[in-house]
Amino acid sequence: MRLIRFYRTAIGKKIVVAVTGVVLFAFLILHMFGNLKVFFGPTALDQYALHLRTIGEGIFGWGGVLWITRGVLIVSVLAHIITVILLVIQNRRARPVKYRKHRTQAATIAARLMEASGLLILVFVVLHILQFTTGDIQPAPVLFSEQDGHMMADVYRNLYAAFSIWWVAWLYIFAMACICVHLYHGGWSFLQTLGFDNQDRNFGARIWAWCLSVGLFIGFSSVPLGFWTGYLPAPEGTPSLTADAQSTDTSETTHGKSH
Amino acid sequence: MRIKLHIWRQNGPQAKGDFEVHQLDDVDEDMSFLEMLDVLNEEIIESGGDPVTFDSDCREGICGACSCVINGRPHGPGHKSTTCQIRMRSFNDGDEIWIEPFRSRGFPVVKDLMVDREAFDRIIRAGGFISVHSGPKPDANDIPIPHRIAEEAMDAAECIGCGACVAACPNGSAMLFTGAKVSHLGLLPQGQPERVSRVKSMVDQMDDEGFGACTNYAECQDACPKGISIRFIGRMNRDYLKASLCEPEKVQGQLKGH
Repeated sequence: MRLIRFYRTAIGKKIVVAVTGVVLFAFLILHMFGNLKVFFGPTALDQYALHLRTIGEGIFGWGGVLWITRGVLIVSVLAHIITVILLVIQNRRARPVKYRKHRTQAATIAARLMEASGLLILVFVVLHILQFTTGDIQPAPVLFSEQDGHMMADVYRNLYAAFSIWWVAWLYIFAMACICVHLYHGGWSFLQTLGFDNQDRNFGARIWAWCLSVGLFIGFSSVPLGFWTGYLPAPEGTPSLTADAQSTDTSETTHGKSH
Repeated sequence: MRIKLHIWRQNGPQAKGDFEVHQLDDVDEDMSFLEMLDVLNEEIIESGGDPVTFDSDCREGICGACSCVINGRPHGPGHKSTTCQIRMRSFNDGDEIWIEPFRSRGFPVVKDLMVDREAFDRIIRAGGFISVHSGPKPDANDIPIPHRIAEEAMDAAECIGCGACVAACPNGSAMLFTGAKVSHLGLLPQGQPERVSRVKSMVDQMDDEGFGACTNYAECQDACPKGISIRFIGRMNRDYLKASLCEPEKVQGQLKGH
């Protein structure tokens, strides 16, 4: 009851958007560090992908933790988008007659582009999952191989194939720019909405949002740029998951069971 | 100086409005903006027309009665100023000036440039009373208040309730006004007994009036003639979060907000 009443108010909705935004933020940061494993070579990246599935295997089963995380993310994305739509409807209604002349004075470009950048990010996320997770869209062939009785994407190989196509790489970088713009406002805005911002901290909060959004942009974009420029080597002809990775997998499993 | 005015004319809350063009050929640049409108109205009355209705009271920039969005900015081109404080020298000879009322669902147009801002009064009324004893006058500085807190409360209390924040906000949100009104009592010891119930009822009333939601554009603090900071919106959000999710429901109104 209390939560429903809370959600009914504009402030309640804003706080829901802020908190779900923080969850997605945290995910992006972890995702970026995961992606950067690509610079440590194909084995490191593919091991990381396997590790995401074997983590906590003893308790939640193979891929259990991954699916729990995905569940949290899906709920967050849905709550974020639905709440924003409700707020946008409320905001449109709040000004039935528009101004003939309207000058925005203080709003940053990022703030004014929130709806547009959010929508582009949504389109990107759907395409991104269809391309790399499920393999339904294949601008370049997406390969899966069987590991320990589970189908696993050959991450490094797939990345190499996709980002060797110039327009895939540049569309990806454009999407990262949208995320950067969205997060520059979001990174500061959630602090303000949750009331952490104040006079003394405002400058720091802006710097934090700038560092975070630009950092994510550089981190994510370095991967397609690395492949596109040829800095990252082509995968070898052998299956990308080596015996080395499998031995790690086994030790993980025994480690999990010993507890 | 010569100016061309595009003024919003609307006969009543339900009537359809539109812009009316007036040419003024002999405007003194030391006139205030409202004096220029007075001159225009005299001309209109002499020619047998219907004068432009607009709000004004003290004409000293302290009462919050004057409104108008001038060339897309509430209270016109000045920084931290009200419409009455704008002089015609802020404009150039031959300028076209667009004058519109504050546009918001919460502020229905009464006539022309005059809007009904009673929604703000209802939000304040929803905040209710503070518990003070009604006996003899208390001693000055009876309750110690740290200087910083007193200053902060005063910054919030500077709000004159003109409604420029709503007019400037692309979402038509009244959160700067409500935030300021919630905060100036919420900061002081005298405002603590009702802190929880105050923020809840004022926020509810704000939503009921049909105002929009804040998206942190910070347009309001730029338009505010008193320069009230959006940090009071953050403060209100924090207070509201605590009041609506953390405080026990049955005894609210009798607990301290902290």
